[in-house]
Amino acid sequence: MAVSLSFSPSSRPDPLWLGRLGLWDFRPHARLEMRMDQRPVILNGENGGGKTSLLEAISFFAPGRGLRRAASREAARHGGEGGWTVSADLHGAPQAPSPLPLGTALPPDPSRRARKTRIGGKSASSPLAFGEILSLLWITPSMDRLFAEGAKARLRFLDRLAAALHPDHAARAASYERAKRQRQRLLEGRAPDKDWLDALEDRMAEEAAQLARTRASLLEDLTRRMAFVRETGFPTARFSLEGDFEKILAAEGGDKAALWLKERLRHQRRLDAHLRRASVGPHRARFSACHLPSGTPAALASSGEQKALLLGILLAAALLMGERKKEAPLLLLDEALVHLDKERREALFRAMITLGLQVWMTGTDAEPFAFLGAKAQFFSVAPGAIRRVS
Amino acid sequence: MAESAERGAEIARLISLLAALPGLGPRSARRAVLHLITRREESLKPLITALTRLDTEMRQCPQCGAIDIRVPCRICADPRRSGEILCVVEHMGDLWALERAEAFRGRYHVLGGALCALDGIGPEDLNIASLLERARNPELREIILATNATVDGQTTAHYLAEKLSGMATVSRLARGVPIGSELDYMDDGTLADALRQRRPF
Ligand SMILES: [Zn+2]
Repeated sequence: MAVSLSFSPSSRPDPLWLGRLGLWDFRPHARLEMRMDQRPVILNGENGGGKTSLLEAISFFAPGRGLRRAASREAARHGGEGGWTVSADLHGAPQAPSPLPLGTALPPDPSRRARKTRIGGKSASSPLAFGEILSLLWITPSMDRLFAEGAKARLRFLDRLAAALHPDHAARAASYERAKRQRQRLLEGRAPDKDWLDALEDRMAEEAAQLARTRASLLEDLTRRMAFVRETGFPTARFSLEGDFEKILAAEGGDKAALWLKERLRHQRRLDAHLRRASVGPHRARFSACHLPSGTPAALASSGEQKALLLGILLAAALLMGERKKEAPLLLLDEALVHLDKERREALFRAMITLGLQVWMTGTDAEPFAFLGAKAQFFSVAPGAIRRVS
Repeated sequence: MAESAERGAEIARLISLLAALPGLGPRSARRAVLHLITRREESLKPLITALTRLDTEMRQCPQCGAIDIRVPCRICADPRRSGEILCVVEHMGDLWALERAEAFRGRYHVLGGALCALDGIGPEDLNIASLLERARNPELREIILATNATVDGQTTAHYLAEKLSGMATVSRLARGVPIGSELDYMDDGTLADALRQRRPF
């Protein structure tokens, strides 16, 4: 079978790829170093051997918690000094020397919670700086039921996509979240200072409109790329993002929506103190998808179809990023083949190759990846040991 | 033998004290200590004198909250600096950054931090009462809120603008200051521009 699609992106961007990855005291790996070319990377090996940890290590080249959603400290190897280091050589980043050395490390000192960031041999102020250099997207088995449960996790997935396209989205979301947490802390304390609450609610309102707008425009952009998703053989989706704030934003625009939110927050202080959460704002938005081939809500589709839907969204996002940012993102797919039949697997492999992505995939056995053959590179992973198979 | 081991422990302690300072690591701390013990007269003794003087004479300026060995501080005492305009900053480092940019000829007010409910830093923990006191001076025309562009810095600016309304014209630095940035990390030119293009709050 020919490995190609009739569809071809108009101007194929330079793929982002890692040429080297080094780990120190990260999860089960005391010390590990691997070299790759730009083809997809397939990691095989026993469970517990540290395959997912390699993906997690790469995921720390993005701000925030990594692909396991673990705090940085949890990634330190048992029996190590308590800190860890991940380094890599990045190729193909626009407007940057190639290869570009990247590094992120957690100091062993337990009082230091922030990761250090190094790009091109220079320190950067925070991991947010990685967002200017590379785009990373991932899915994990914990996202298999994303559409069926956890509105929060769904919104987080959407925000991760938005941040990969709009580097300031992550900073904005973090600002909003910080202001929201501080407001809650004040509300639940004794005699909260009204002016202080005003100031925090003003911060929230100011970030909220732009946050919600970026999400909405991302969903529009993804919707416009559903033709490509159909062509890859993955199910297409229709998205919705609903909430009180989103309704006002769509009807009245950003300034009015910000004012509305400020008023609502002010009036709901006592309620929110009681509920122990802010009851209104873009963090309460409900993101959902409809599985178009069956016309049913994604939450009601089979596990396999939900997984396929997620992969389709990821492929659309990768295509979009290539067009917008002139760079194909790095994709981390942990145990992604589990719910996919042979036809879907091959569809995924073909799309990866068409998009020219360095996709990192894990799986116990190499057999399900056999279709890729020489179009990918295969490694066998065990704690602290990695071996190139082909 | 015991004596040299004791001396070794003292030097190791000095190295670890220096290594804990911002901008220094174990390697540069070792180099600095080696430098100090081999150049006792030119380096070690002047450093001891300077540190001792700082420790005994350092005061917080009762007017502006800056740290200096003079009371009032050098800037508050300088008659050439305008008393009509006040620039409010979070930390001494921000004051130094603005002074380096040589773009401001008024006086300062150092808050000593920013409001942060998560760290339990409230209005009473910052030099806010003394700022409100200073704002009553009829000579004062403008107050520039130059807190950092972080969530906490902006929240603090908003809080102060509320408290200061009706007392003096309140302005803030022009945007162009990147999100999350701290003044101390900005280059002098950018900082001077942000100051020149300040806008009413
Ligand atoms: Zn002073």
